[in-house]
Amino acid sequence: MVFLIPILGLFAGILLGSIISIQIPLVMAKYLSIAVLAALDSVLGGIRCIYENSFNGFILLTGFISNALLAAFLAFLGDQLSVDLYMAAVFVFGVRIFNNLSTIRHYILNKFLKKHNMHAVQHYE
Amino acid sequence: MKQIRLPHWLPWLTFIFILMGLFLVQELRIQSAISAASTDPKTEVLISLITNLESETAALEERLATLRQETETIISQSTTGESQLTDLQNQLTQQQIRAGITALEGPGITISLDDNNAGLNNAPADDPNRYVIHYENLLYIVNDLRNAGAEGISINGQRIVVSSEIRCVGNVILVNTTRLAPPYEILAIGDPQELEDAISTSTTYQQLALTGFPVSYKTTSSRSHKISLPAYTGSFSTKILTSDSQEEV
Repeated sequence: MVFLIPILGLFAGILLGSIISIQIPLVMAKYLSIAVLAALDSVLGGIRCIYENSFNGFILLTGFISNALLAAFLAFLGDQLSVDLYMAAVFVFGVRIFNNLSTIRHYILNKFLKKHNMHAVQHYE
Repeated sequence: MKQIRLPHWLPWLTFIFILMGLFLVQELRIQSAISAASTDPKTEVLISLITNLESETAALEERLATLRQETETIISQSTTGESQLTDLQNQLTQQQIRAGITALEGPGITISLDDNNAGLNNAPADDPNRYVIHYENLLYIVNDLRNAGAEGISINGQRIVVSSEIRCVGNVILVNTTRLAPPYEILAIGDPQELEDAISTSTTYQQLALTGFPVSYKTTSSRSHKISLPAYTGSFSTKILTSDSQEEV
């Protein structure tokens, strides 16, 4: 069960964050929530690429960093202009997360059905 | 996936997962800090203000009590047999009794009033204001007692004197600028029969009793049950007034 290791990594991160207490200013709350979304987006995108045999760690990492940075910049700009621009990032991340999840679901389902000699589910992605 | 060799994507994904866990915890921590902070600061400041002022009042009252004691000892020391002075002393004692700065004892009545908690529990959708004792209730009952010739009155240990107020601030009742909480116990010294008549015919008391408030009163029938009133511990402001020299003080 290799895919359990990243899950363990999640718990390790939670544990790490609980043990080391970094005082993060309250202003950062918005940026941090976007970072969480960016990480979730990257994770799901990565899993999707694994199924599509196009996984590349560097692309994953740079994608995560650039997405998070852009989102943070949007949030910052929105703060300056008093427009909730970070909602754009939240929206895009949300859509992508759902898209990736549905694609992954299709891959898994197809794999499962093929194994049991059933009709494959058509997917639209 | 079933190979023993670890797939190449594993460290990357694990790393992102660790980051996500870290961010998640920090975010949760910040959010809980925000929600904890948003409710408190203003009320906390006000509460500390109130407690500070109350302790200040208590300290001042204590000082006032010692000063009064000092005056009394000075007066008693200075009386060296002169009958005029004893006369004056007696007068002063009488005035002090009238002013309410001495503890008193005598026959009278005890009235207990409490919020109608049972009624509110039975009708939770109803306006809760209809089930609590308001400052008017206390004020009107005190007035009824005064009308019946009560010579001394106190509410929950606060002596009612000339300068006493019975007012409401928010959801607490203030008497002598001291916060009172239910149940309320009103003590009054006076003719027990007259006080009882006054209370049993008091519209405020009747209304409270009829609407289900837990109210009761008890007069001192036997001499063994005496009402003791505490002394007024606050001060009288005499910053502006001066006594009229024409009148006898």
